Amino acid sequence: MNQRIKGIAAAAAGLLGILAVSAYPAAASASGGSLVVYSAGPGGLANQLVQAFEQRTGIQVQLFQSTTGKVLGRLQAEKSNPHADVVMLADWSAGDALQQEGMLQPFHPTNGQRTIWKGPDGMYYAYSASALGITYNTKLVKNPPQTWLAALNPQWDNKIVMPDPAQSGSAVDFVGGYLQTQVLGMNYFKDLGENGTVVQGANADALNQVLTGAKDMVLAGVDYMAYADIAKGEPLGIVYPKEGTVVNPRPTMILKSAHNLANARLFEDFVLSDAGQAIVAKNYLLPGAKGYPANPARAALSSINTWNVNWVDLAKHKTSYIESIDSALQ
Amino acid sequence: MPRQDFPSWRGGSVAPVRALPRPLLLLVFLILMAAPVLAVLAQAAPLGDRWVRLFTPDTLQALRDTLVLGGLVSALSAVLAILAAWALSALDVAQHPIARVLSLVPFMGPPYLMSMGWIMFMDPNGYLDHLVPALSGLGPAFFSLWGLVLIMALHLFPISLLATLQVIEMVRTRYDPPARTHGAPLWYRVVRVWLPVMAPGLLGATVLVFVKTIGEFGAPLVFGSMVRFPVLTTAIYLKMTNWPIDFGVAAQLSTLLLAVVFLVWFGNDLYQRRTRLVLDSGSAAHRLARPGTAARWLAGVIVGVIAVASVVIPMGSLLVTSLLRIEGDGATLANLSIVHYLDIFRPSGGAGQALFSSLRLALIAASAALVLSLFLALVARFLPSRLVRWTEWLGLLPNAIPDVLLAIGLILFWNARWLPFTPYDTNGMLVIGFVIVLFPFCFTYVRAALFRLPPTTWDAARAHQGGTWLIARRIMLPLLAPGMVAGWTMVFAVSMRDLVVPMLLSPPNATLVSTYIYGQYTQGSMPDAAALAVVTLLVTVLLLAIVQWWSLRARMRGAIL
Amino acid sequence: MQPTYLSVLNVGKSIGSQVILSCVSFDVCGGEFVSILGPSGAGKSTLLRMVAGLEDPDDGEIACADDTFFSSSRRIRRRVEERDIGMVFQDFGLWPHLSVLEHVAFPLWSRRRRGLADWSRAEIVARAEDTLRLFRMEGLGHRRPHELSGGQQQRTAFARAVAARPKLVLLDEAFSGLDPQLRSGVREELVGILRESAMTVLSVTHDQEEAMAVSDRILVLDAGRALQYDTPAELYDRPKNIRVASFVGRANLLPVLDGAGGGPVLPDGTDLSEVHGNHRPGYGGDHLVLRPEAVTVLETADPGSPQWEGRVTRHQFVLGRHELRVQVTGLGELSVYHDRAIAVGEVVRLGARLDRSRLVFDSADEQQ
Repeated sequence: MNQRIKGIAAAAAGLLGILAVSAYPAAASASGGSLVVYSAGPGGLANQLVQAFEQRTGIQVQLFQSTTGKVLGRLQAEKSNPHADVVMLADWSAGDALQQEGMLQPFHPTNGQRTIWKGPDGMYYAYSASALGITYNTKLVKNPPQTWLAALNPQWDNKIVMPDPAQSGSAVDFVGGYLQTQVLGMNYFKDLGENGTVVQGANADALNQVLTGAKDMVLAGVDYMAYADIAKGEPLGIVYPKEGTVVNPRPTMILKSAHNLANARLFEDFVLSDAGQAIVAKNYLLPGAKGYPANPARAALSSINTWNVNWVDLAKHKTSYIESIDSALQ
Repeated sequence: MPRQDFPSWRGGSVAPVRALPRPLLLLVFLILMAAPVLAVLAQAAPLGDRWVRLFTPDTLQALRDTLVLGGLVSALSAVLAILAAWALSALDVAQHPIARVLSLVPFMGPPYLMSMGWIMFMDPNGYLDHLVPALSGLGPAFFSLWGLVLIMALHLFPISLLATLQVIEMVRTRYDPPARTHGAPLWYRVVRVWLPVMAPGLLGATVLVFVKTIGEFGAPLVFGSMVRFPVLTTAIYLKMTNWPIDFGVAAQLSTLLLAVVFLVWFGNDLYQRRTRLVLDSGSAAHRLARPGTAARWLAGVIVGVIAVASVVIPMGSLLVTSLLRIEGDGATLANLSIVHYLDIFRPSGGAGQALFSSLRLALIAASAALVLSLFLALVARFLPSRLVRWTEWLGLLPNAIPDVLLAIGLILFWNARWLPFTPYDTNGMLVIGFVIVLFPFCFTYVRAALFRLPPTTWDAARAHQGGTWLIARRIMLPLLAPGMVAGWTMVFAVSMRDLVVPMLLSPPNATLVSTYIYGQYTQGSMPDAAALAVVTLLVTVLLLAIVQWWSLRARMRGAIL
Repeated sequence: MQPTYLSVLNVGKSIGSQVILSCVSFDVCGGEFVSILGPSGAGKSTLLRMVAGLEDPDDGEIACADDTFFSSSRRIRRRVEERDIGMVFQDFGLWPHLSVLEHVAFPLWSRRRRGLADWSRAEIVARAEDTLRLFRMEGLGHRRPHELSGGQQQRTAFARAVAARPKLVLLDEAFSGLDPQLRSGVREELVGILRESAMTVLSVTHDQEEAMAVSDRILVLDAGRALQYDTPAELYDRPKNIRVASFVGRANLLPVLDGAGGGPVLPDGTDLSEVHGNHRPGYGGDHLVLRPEAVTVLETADPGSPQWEGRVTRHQFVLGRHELRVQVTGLGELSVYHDRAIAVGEVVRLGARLDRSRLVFDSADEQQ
């Protein structure tokens, strides 16, 4: 009888073993010429960069693809035992934040001198950038407002949606940029609130409201998402208001704890090379390298009136911006 | 034969159980369930001075809103569950396995996508406006706390429903007839017989709904931000994903949530102990004459309305959205196309791999949870001890803890440097995450199935020379099968759609259905996200129907000869 | 008497400070039908489950047909499934997912699996069907328990118990679930089958009428102690103590005093020196067991036997006879049977046949 019990136990253990082993294929390729990249969207861009890099160098890349907030959260959770080598984020001030935490190490990519935006001491570089604009549904809106101020016109009452600063980094950037540069300051957002402008979710939620026709336009939506949708045939248009707008550079950086330092530097070289920038342009983002042309389907950086944002100051006040918008746009 | 081999006097023992020492089992559960929770509490603890700052007006507001939301959603779920259970029972399909699978469907949809579906349905220019323009006035009423409550209750009521189905059947066939024969009118029977009999089970399930509600952040984030209803989970979530990221504060906010949860469980426990309602262990209840035509019509209408509200509207909105070639061109016949399905299932589209990965991990997680549940239930039944009761308590612990918190705890614990071996950064972590979060569901089903069996079930088999293996295979397995299939099903179905665990625990390069959908939803196209959601739901339902059908067949055959 | 087949020796069991069984011993001969009778909580089911192996004694020996089932001194414990028994459970213990035929085939199949028999599948089916025929269940083999009546479920349970012709058949309140009207008929038939099959049967029951009707011998158990082990007639006519007397059949229990000469007398002075049983002068705990049928209502004077006068306090008609309670001064209330109704309040004269009565000790002293 005991024989049989042992048999059952062995069979059960074997089954669990098989299940366990089959659950770990990811672990098998973790060693050797590898690299771990944590990237904030858009998903297509990161995937394409990684694939091209793998083809070029034969280095195996482990890509964790998410949003800026979740990448930062994961970095924080893994702080005692970091895994990532390269981190690419969608928010310039996040680069500064990681630097302040002492998590970064300087690097000097081949094309480093060519980048439009760089952090101090070669800690991080912008590999791309996005601009904020007014994204509108062309079926519902024939004469979109050309300035931020014009969006206060009563004809847009209850027709405007803005991404929720609590969930969208770019919306906070807009609020900060606006408050830093425009005399109207907080009164602008109070007026928006009185006109029935609402905040909803992250960029995608807000944009979806405009696509379905629930709202007419997104105020301060990221432009590359709209360009991608326009390319698919969606009825969208973009206005960069005359007062100027926030262009948010997207930083790429190497963690101090990087296990695969050489590969990480190779990857950064590639991202800032022409080949890498071509992939950036293909995804409707502004290239981060000076002189590299943007996608012809979108507005070039030179044609956008850009605010000069103090990112460090902006990062300091994020929480208060979120709170004041929260009360202004009820 | 050595004397220590004697079975306990409680009668009977199943030999393989003894092969697993109880302290080892306790250790496994300590590592799986307790370690992550302790890891979170350790994060919350050292920030002494910040405890004071925890009780800001904002936090208290969020706490109050959390309680309000939890209370309203639990109450509505209970009402929905009772109505649905009565209707299914009156239509004579309550015991049908397919009905059980279908009644789980609302719970199988990802809550944030269901919210999206509702939003797209109720929005100005939404699908409701197109279908019934006259009802467009409902919008403002819907976009309020009540809309959030409705969406969440429609998502979570299957938990209560499953607990209610069994009892209501018994009430109808066993406890209601005596009340009728003594001339009690309907309302009196409901108040004096139906509710008291159903209360313990329903309350237990409702507490679970409450915990799930206050631990859920998908719907509050998507819908709650529109209606300005900040709850604790959204605050926790934002603390964990917005710079400055502060797990300490997130963990402290979580302890508020934990405190609420433990209070509620404690209250429930106290109540359950005090009522001590023992229902007959349903041997062959008498079949009743079918209810009258009017009742059957009413039942049909109730089932229909609940099905429309919980499945057809949210999933239908997603289905329509997934079929729009150009989302901005709206739902016109000319704009319908399956291009998004073709897009995501192209070799480079990634959805195929995501679906495959999810299926594989969900299968592994469900099977592992089942094996673990079976072991623990057998030990609890045949080798009861204080140690085993603690182990059981640990097994049920995840039900008391919001998933976000568990996932953070899993990272903090399993990524610790001092661990000699860790599944962190592998798919194994996802399996562990799914198993932990869903183990209580699985265990509850398996345990109930085992404890329902009278001891003569195995005594009779042993008295007639059945060997251990024969009893396990021919007697116990067929009789436990329904509970096992139900537990397995639950783990599988929820693993297929769960977002919290994969979002926080996915290793690099691993994309699951939920992270794929979420990625498409936040960064890509809504129709693509909707398309995969629809496909996944269909695949899941189909698979579960097959499993149910197969287990039914197997039980029917369940034969020796 | 045939030689001992099943022997239970000095079996004891306690849980904590509570004694479940204390030093119980009895033997069963081959082919005998023995009942264990006692009030609920007497420990009789525990005793049966110990013979089955479903529970273990703390100490004692149990052996059946040269096979030691259990021995605390020799540390032997035969597992349930190796004891070669058949058993009928109080709730029948049928499995909801198996058919009648599969139930009956289960013990056969189990023996084949254990390598104790080399029956082919066809043989197993044939034997199972034979057994079903024996229990008049032919044609119901494909049904599942919920498709059977209570009686059919019982037959299935019995068929399963005897299908493999085990050494020993154990019945655990096997008839208590039945309709009282059907009970005796069905019982007769099922017990008849067991006897025809020459089965040795150990049965547990709380129903004394059942035990008296079917058993060769009865073990009376109370509070974990064996009070008496005897044939039904002996138990009835010669109960060893007051507990047995009161539990088996109906009895008027009359206190016995010491007479002037030291001989036993009733409180009214009736001399009992002719009555069977020992009297212990000065003890004061003795009783006279006077069965109701040993008391007659005298329609005419009969000087030969002691006579009491009493007033009828209650009257009940019980299938074929009238049961009276008569208040006799100095003795208390007596139960009496009579062939006609007597109105409550009437005064009657009673005669007692003391040769059919017996002196017993108080139960408190039964162990002396």
